[in-house]
Amino acid sequence: MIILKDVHKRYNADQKSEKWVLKGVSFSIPLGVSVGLVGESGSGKSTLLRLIGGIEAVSSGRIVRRCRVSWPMGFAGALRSSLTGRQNARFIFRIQGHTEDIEERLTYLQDFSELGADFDKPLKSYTAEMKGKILFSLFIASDFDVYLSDVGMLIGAKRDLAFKTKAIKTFKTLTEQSGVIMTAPNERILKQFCSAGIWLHEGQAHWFDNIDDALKHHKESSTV
Amino acid sequence: MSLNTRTSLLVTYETWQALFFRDAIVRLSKGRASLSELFDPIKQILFMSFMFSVIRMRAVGGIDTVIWLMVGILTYNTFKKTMNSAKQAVKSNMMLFNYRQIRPIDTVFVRAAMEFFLTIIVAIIVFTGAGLYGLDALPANPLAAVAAVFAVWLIGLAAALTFSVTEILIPDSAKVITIIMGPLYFCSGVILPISSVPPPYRDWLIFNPLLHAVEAARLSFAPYYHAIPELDLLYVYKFALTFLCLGLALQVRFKSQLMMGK
Repeated sequence: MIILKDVHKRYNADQKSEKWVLKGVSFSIPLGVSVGLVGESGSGKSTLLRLIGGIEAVSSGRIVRRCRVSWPMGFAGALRSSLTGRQNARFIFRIQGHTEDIEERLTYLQDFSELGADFDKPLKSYTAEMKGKILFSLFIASDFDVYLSDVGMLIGAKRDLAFKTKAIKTFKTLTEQSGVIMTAPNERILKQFCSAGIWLHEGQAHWFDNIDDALKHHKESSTV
Repeated sequence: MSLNTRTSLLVTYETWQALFFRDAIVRLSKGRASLSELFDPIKQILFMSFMFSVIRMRAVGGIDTVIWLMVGILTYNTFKKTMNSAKQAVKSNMMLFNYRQIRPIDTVFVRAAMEFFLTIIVAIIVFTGAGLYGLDALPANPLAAVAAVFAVWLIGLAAALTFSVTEILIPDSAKVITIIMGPLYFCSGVILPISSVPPPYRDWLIFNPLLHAVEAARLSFAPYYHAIPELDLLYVYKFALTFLCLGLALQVRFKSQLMMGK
């Protein structure tokens, strides 16, 4: 369960002229429900994800997380280039608290990311595609109740179609067991993953039990 | 679907552990560069010992010059290295704040702990070397030595907490701190016996808590050492705790600016 209570957000709070990105957003997302965020660019979709992910602080209001929430997938990732893939992965698993079964997770990760022997090489020798693969696999190999996914879910690994298909399939089964909150570049992905939708418009969030209704409102408002 | 969230304490503990291992690997995998950094105080001690004992004098304040220098430099370095390394922690770990579990203050704490660890290793090497050379390198009062070194480490940690905030809010403040560090070294009685300073200025230098800690560390090695009569380790701890409160307060107040890097 994730609860937002009257969340306000604006950047550079000391400059009073800055416009509010979110003006009093309240909703709660039950466990197991997948939600798509829709809205024009700049309507605060990524901001909302970052707030739920706890990377940014709210200007006022409260966010309660009563479950394990992932980091927002889609940023370039905090991997250290002088360390190997394995060392980096170990660090991420440790901060997520997966200390007991860390070796099994590493094996799964190495297998899923298809990196093979490169897994034990420093990250600076990786191509952009390999980095994308390890980032996505890290995301998949950690346990969460709610996954946060920002637009570029598969940064870098776009050219490898087979991997992309596998990744989306695995992510789909994962999110069926738990929940996901996501933004996406196109409607197709949103419809594929999400049942409910949140339409962000002029700093307000509108909840729809059906993602299609959210998309419909978004389209109507942008054509007018 | 699981509802087992971790307690805040457990998250902090596991985060610190993960950061510590990561830092350790990064430090050690630098190869020769990290070794020379580690042995920097040893070089300093050897050079100054040569200058003092061969060219100038054999004893300071009743103890062997080499021991006097060795304890002084190691104690002061605990402060300097802890501060310098830990105040960079926030800047160099900026990307890590994309993980909710890691807060700027965690990276400062972990770096400081790492420095403490490395200091102990260097100290063991130095004192073993000195012992093999035939010097009386064991502290007469080990607990007092620990108390003195821990005090300077606390000051270093407090300085790191404070200056990591100021350096992000006011980038030029880093230069001011570098400028202050030079005179501070000479005012702390590390290589310059404070008793050789004439009266009006000497009384001012007594306010420097690092001087007290350095002298306390020397006294713990040899009870017959002529330390400054005003020596008060409690003063050092009072200063450290006050400074620590300031640093912690700044970290809490400017947390979001630290995470954004401005």
